[in-house]
Amino acid sequence: MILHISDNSIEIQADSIPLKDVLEMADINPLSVIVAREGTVIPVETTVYSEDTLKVYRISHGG
Amino acid sequence: MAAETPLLCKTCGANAVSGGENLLCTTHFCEMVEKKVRTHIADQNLILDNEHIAVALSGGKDSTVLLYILSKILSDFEGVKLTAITVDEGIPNYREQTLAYAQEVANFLNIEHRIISFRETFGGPLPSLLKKRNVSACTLCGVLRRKILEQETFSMAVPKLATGHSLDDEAETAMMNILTANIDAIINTASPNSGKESLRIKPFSVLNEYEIALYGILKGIFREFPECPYAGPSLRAEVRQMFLSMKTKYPNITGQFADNYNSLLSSIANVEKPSGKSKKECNICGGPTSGDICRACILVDPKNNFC
Repeated sequence: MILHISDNSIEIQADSIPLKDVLEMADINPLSVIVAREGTVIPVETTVYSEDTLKVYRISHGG
Repeated sequence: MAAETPLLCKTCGANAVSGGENLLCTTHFCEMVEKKVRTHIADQNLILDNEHIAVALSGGKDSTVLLYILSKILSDFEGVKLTAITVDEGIPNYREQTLAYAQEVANFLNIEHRIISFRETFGGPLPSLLKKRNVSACTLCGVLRRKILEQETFSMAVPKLATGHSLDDEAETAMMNILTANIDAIINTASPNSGKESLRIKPFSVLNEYEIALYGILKGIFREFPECPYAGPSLRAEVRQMFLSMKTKYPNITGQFADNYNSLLSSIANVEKPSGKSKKECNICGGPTSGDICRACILVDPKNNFC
């Protein structure tokens, strides 16, 4: 599946697993982001699939 | 592929957008956020009828959502007027976008909007003010932004300035004061308003960053902007990461810490500072300060180049 984060994209090899696990595989703290699939926000407990494209919104950054 | 069982809103059964113990759909999540803010404002008397409230609007997510929600709940009050104030620090290739968005939001919400720049107030944008001053960009920017917001709020005879500080911001500031053993800052936060400064209100101090961001996304007002070019390693960033790591095991740690810290503040509201410094007027600008001259006047004085 593809994760779009700001101007970057990350490809993760995974299927039928909770979004939370996918984020951790991408070294992203699930509490630091909000994720949408096909334009709809989904909770981190949602099962995601290999063909999914996910938009990852970083909640905050900066110093 | 097995069909996914969607996570459903605990209130109405529609698809949930927030998880954990708070499974809620878009409608009920947004209602929950607005109710939290309304209740906090009412409980703490943050806004009263016929007040003119200045709202610090950077164009970032917290202040944008704050202006949006305040404009939405204005009907709870009689005669309340909002004025958004945006400070233009003049940071190239960064501020232009958030400034344009702040204008767009204020215009969309039909709220009076004032933009005050570092250039018109201090004689130049942040990059030029930083030259010959051996002070960090974030320190200079933060002090001067607060100065403009304070001056502008006072000049408008608006007694209250609403900021988008979240529960996480409050917890981070409290932890920074504790880590640096900054007793003066802790007591300062607890001290009653001197009457020579605008009253700061923080309607979002009951919301965490996640709630503010998700509300902004669901309402279509969340925008992703590039990071400030001056952002770098800082104590606040370290403290934020520390809370984030702890939240994985202790989800309510930030709220508990902020609540207990606020209880501590209530109990020391009239304690004298160890430094003996009390709030008085700056000899140059007349603004609030704990010394003879406020930090902003010291920083902008070309004689004080700190080199």
